[in-house]
Amino acid sequence: MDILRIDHLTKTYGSGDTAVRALDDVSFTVASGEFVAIIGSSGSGKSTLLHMIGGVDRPTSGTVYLNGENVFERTDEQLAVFRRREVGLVYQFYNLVPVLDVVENMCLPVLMDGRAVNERRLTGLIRTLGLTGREHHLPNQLSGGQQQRVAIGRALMNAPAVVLADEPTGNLDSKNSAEIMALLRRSNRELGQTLIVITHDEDIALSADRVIALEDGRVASDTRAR
Amino acid sequence: MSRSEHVEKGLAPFHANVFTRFTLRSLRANRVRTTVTIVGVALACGLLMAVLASVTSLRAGLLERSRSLDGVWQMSFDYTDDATIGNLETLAGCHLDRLATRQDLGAAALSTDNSVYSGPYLGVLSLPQEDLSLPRAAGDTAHAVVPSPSVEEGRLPEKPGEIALPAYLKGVELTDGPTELEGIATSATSEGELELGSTVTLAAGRRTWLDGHPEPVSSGDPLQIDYAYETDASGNVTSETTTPLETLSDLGAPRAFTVVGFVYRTNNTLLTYQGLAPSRQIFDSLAQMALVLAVVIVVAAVSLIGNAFTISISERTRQFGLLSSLGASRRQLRRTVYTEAALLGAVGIPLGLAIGLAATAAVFAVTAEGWSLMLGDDIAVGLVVAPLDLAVAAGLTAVTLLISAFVPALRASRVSAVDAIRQTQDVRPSRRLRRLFRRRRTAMDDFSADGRRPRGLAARIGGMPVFLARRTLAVTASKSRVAAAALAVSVALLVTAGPLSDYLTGTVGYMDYGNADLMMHLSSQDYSSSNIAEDPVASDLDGIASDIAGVAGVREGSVSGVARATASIRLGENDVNWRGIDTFNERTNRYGGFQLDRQGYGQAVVELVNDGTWRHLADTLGLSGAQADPTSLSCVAFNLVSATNADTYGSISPLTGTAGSVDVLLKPEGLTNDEWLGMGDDGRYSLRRADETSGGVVDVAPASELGLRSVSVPVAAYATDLGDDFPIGSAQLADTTSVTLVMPMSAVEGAGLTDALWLSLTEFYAGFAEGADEEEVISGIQDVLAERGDIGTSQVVNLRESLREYRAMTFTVNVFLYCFIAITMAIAVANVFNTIASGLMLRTREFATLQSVGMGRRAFRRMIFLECADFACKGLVGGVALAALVNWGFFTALSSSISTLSLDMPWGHVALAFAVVVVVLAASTGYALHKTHALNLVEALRADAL
Repeated sequence: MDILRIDHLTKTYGSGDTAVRALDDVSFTVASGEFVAIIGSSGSGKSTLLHMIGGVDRPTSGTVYLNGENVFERTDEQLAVFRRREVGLVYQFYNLVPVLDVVENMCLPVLMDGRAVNERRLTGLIRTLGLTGREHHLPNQLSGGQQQRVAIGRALMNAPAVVLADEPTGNLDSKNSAEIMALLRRSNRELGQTLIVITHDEDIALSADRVIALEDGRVASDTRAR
Repeated sequence: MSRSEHVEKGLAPFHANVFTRFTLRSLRANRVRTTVTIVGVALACGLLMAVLASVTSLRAGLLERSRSLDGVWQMSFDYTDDATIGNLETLAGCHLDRLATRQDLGAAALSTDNSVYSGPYLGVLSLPQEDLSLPRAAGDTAHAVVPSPSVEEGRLPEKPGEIALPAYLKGVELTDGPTELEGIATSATSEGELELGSTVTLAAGRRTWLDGHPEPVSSGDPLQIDYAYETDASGNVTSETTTPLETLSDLGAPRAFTVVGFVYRTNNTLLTYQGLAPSRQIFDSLAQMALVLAVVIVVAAVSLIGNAFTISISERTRQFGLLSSLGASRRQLRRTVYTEAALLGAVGIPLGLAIGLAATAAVFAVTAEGWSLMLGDDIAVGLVVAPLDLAVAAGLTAVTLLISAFVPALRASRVSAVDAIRQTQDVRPSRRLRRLFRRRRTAMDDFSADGRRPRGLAARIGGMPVFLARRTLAVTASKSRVAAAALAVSVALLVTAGPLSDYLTGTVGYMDYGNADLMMHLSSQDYSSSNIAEDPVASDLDGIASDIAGVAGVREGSVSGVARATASIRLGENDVNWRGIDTFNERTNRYGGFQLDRQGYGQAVVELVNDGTWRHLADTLGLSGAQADPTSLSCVAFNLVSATNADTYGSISPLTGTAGSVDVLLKPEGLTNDEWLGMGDDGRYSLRRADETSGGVVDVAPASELGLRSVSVPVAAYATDLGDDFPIGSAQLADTTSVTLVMPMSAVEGAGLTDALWLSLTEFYAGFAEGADEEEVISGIQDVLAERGDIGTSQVVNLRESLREYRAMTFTVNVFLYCFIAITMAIAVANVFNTIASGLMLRTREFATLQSVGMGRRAFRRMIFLECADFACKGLVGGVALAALVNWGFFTALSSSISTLSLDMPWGHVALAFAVVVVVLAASTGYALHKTHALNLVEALRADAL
């Protein structure tokens, strides 16, 4: 079953002579539970695509269907709710809120939604992420790898259908990279979450179920692992 | 853009290094913040310059005034022989620049009749003469050492036998007769009234002490002679027996002089002499205020500039780290910051000096009239630019800049390359937060019991936006503290401006005379009588009023005549507001409490008005029929008495307002000159008598037991405001200790009630017709009054002129006050803008994160709003509290001396401060959010890049 359908997605920045076409008529579908790696040179439109799927940015034309629903039919307020419930975003630079501690950062989407924090899920995630004993530390008291694990925890806390990660290991050494990817893979397998990762790392790309290569805002190749 | 490029190119040959260029780029990149900082530097510098220039200019004005009026002498002494002066010249040597001498030629005794003008002596002095043989090396040669008196009419004496007399003697005849000095006959006489060309005959003697004290009394000394008082054993004065302590000795032979001029006395206490003493207080207060403001300015400026630097540096932490990783030394990084300070100063300081001087010049130009009124007619206060002031203002600003740059420079040089690249944001957990987290053990400790929201009151009250705002504030409190404090101080200044201005202008003093432009204080030739019927002025209110009304230039229907008298009255027990009177007596013991005893006997002030004034009053109060008729006996009870003391401000109504009439008591039969009715020692209104033998006062009998006859006067109305057509303002009427009644003079005379009253004074009021020449009207009135022949003295006061002077002074005070406040406010505003805008800009990534994990725009805006509101609250609440404290301080210190001061919070100013704060915060926040594209997620997320 396709959980995600990207339909003739086009995004243009600027206008006139300075107009840049970041995405040019991109279409593909992603099945539920699939692990997709998106690769491409810098400026090929990878991040823009991820922002569209995550409901962070609106396309110039075309649309994205998640679970059969048009993401961009929502108002800005509804999009905010969409972001906190349906997707989990992980960035290269962690992007933690500096004044909140580890647990508060992880539970931010749940709290925004006004729902109760699932204690079992939280403690389980903390254990899995290796953050035990760090629950009440602020981000600046953590190492880069630890911060990225908090960011992943935040993305997984709501058990979203789709996890989107923008070069999640781009800022980490190889040992930490491997750990982070293992974590993401594990939740992808165990919880059946769909995982879309932008990466430059060939190892990561090779471990994915499917690799989509972008070039100048277009899908250059779409390869499934055998 | 093109300008900064120009600057960069212009400087490049001198500092062709990467760091200078780096500094210039970063200044250009943050154009708004750079501009705000430069404006801040310029404002601070300009304000310092303005304060210094104002003080210097005022001091110069005062000095100029003192020199031209009193001369430039610095020391004076008396000598009796020429050898002394010779010794002095030898001893002082080169320290003696200029020397002037004035001979004391003795004093002549004036007759008792002539003593009424200004004392029993006519002192005779020679004109001051300067010794021109001295070098005048360092002396101030622009003014005389001791100025000659200024001539009103004629000229100064030039040869023997000529004399110039004080101007007040013009038109006076110096008569022969007894003097106030025992055994001394008059030694100053004239033939007829004095005018130019008259002859006066003087025999001058030396004033000496009767007790044989060898020191002579200077002829120029106080006009009044000293009298001895008899005292009892405990030192109390028991009588007013006047025994002079001095006499004239060595009286010379009478000599005739020709009067060649009339002169003003030079007077070194001109301010006091002209009744302008209170304005000195204004000047002192201004000087103190200037000092306080200078301190506030320096503090605010340091905080503003320091803040701007700190923010500029923390914004560039990563850049510094990068430079450091590329091999920049600490010294080079520090120098980058100092270069920035130097560049800001190079633009800001000259700009500030120019702004400060221009503003001061403008303010002095606008307030010139007020200053000349406060300091004396001939004194112009112009801008005086002292090089020292320029140096101090520039130097102080430069030092402020250096201090402000020091800590950020240190920080910049310590940025580690690793930190910068790791790019952890500059949030260090505060001690409070660390303590909070230390107490939390399990993961769920961060949440409320149901796990639905973060722990703590903030989240319970307002959910996530409030929680996040609260947490941010807790972590960043120290950063915004200085800006919040500066905001509070400027809010306090703005709010205090109202009471401060009231206080400063209150010291100038102004009475409300309604619509009247002129006040004429008239008294009959025989001023000993307190009987209205015997007083030609009081008994002819309408006649005099119509004479005045007939003068060209007097506004039609504007003349009123008021004779003030006192009467004994009796009130019914239920007609008196006893609680009000108790309050009055508790609060103030002015002249022995309220003049009314428990039996209802007491005193009343009666304002007797002419027919026209009564009709106007009846019109104002809506009276009609017999009550409006000035010939039918009735009264208006003014039911307001001020009961203000040091602690409380207020007034009471002495009457309940239910009485239909008031009993005016006739004087007891056979009242002697030593007897009167007043509040007795036992608190009862009584017949009192001065006791010759003991020198004290005895109570003969309470009024209630005297069997006094009375006349019942119907009360037409009770009022607390008699309208603008009534010449005496409410504040003046309320400043009393007894019941006040207004009655028509015609009716009082008709009812034969004048015998019951003691007249105290008679005044007339009039208004100018539109376009009338004020001087002509006044002299016209004086002529008309002189023609009558039954008026002894008349004093015409131009109230419109007083009001003009009052307004000019008020205006001057307010211009200075509000200028300073406006500029201090501007500094605070710039500070707040910098703090808020930069604080928000630094958090771009955090905002992007919050939104990308699903914070809605509404919640986001709410969070930002709350953070700003917190800031506003700190500034406003702190400021208003501070203002209330200052206000209360002013009030307790001054309410006893200034009746117009009241303990009200100036809500208008509070509202203004509120509006200013809200606008500033909204603008800062709006700017920052726009600039950071915080609401445009994609761009905010991209802001990641270096």
